[in-house]
Amino acid sequence: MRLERGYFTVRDCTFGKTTSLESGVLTVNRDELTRLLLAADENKHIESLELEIVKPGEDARIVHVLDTLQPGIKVDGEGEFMPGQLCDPTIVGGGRTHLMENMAVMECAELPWAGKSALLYARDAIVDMKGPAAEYSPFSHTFNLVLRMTMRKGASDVEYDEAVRHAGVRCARHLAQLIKGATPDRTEVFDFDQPVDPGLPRVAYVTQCQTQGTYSNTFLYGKDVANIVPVSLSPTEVMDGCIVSGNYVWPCFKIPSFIQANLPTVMELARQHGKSVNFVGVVFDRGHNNSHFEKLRVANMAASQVRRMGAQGVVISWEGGGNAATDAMLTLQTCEKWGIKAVAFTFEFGGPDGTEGVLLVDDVPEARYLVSSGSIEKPTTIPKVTRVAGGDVVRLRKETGGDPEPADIERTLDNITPFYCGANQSGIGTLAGVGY
Amino acid sequence: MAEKIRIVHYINQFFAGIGGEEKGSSPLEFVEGPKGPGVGITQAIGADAEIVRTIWCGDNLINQEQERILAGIEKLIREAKPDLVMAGPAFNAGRYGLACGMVAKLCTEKLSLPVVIGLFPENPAVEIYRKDAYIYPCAETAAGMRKDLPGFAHLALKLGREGKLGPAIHEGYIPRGFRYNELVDKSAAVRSIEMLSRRLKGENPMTEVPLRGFEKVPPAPPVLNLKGATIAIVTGGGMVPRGNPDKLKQAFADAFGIYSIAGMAELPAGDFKGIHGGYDSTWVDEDPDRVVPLDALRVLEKEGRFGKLLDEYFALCGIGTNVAMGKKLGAEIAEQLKRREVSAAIYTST
Repeated sequence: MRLERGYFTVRDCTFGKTTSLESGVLTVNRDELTRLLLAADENKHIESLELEIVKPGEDARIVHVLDTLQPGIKVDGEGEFMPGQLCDPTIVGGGRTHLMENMAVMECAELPWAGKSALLYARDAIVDMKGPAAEYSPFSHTFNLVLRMTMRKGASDVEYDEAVRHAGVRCARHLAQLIKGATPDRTEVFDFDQPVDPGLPRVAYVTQCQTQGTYSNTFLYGKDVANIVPVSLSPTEVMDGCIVSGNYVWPCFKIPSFIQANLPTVMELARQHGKSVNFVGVVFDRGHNNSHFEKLRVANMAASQVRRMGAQGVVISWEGGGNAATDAMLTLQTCEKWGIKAVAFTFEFGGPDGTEGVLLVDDVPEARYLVSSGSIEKPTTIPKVTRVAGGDVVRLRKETGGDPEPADIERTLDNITPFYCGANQSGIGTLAGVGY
Repeated sequence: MAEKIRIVHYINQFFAGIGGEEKGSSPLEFVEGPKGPGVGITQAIGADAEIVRTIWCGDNLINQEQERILAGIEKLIREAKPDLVMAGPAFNAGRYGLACGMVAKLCTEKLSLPVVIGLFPENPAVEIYRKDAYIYPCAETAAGMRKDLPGFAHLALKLGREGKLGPAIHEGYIPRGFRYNELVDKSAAVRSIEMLSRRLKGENPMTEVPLRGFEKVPPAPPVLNLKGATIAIVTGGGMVPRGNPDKLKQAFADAFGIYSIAGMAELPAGDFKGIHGGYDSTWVDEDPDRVVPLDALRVLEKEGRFGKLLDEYFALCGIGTNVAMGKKLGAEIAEQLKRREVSAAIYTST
């Protein structure tokens, strides 16, 4: 596979009479896009939809964040960016793709709120654009076009889930039309067709996603991966958005679609491919398997894919908490047993000063080389903000059903779980637990 | 030029030149200025600092008469008005290592003085005193003295100048066990690839998440007389009476609930609800016996397969709870079960 990625850097974003991208300034015709998105929602599950723009450094807080997407479009090669989402599940990863940089489409709605299941209890995902919590989310650095939605009562979880995702995908595709025929600010080429120096170390990446049912699913080529066996993907098809997130539960543990298409380990290994490493491929699987038997089965099959690629080394990461850590640790253990050197990155516990309890929620003796993506048990005070986007309230007290509370006020949270992407499980952030 | 950093240095009778094992009971003494390893430390720290007083004591004496000797050391340190205290290096010496640790704890807790001690990383005193001092990792024996002193001295000098030290991995001291979130210069993904690359080159890079210990939990002995046994149900599956009366947390449990099942043949749907934040509880809400198997146990009870079922069950949400809290809650539940003369418990998880 050989993929060219053309990047269009967005330097500002405003509402205006026409939708355009001129000299890095993205202008969005708010009414037109709102009408388009509501009209496309054929079953009328979305009761209201309001577009908002939130900028880096703004004194603003975004709440009810569900998925976040990158505007992207295939301009050459088979398939569409985010294949299988409102389009055919054609294999992607070749040709040329145009992408907006620094620009995100953000679905926001009070979901889950069907409340049938505890996993789906109301909880809130927060992005602070400045202040002490800003660094917990990569989206404090992007211009965010927020789709602030409310849902019409009476539909099922599956229908709401589909409605919000489709709105986000349509919005991102609509914006991406602007860059289809244009000349990008810069281009990167990822060429896996050229032979590489056989002396380079062979390295694979295992990315284990979360899938536990509606609102906590991940989609591969348009279908949820509940029954998937570990599969190998080319780095370029990952970059073309074949993994789309529908995971709206634990906010800190999410890897949104935007990041799925730019998994930092994939990007970095792909950039080093042929220079310092031979990046032999990506193994994609799901965590949160139900039983120890199923966890062992997935771990063995994922490690088997890594071995089949001829990898000498592997980076392993996962999305989700303790349940998922077990699947990933078993994968790491199996790789090490077979002589494949494994490094994983993970969030940690440890309490406010790092001395409480055990740092990891699950562990194997073979996990001797771990990178820290930060502790989730750090109390954080978020300040009063002048603007709230995505909704008006936050729902933080899950044990009492997520009763709504004012979103703009100062408050201290005893851990960072409400912060969107806060556990840094994609490895995108520089947050780390540092020992003293 | 600011004033010189004043250092008090603690050593043992051997390094003070009094004698070895046989002089282990020699008294607490001191001299103004450096002595023994302090001479090498003085050379390494240069003009910015000076050892103003050296204190020593027999290793046996300080370990046997801790309170008295430490009071004496406290007085000698206070008199010297130091900015910083150093102790050792004690290498892998057991009692000397403990003595250095005690001096460190005294400085930290009573004197609020920064302190640096030198120990071999596997010296037992490291585990005991790592939170009380910056410990410079020394060689196993005094043969490494010449190599260790410059690093030991520079760590002390930096602490004396700045009043605190940066992360262990950069400064070179043995991690004290404190961990804080910080923004570092490279992403976790990039650091992982770098760590892997070093492994693939045959190097042994330092893990960022320190190695954890593994504890084996021995299985309980079997119940010999099931016919006379009282059986309890404990669940980590988050099944609680409707309304969650104890407001148990959905995750990161810090408490458990005890709920009556007296006279019930099963847990009625609607009266009990799954609140666990880690799985879709639709199916256990539909039939709570799926996670608290009361119906099946009542059948077995009626058949006389075991004595009786405890009239209460124990519940919490087993998700995200760290091991220390898990142990605490486990011990409390076990205590409550013993008080109720329970012979065995069935733990259902999800």
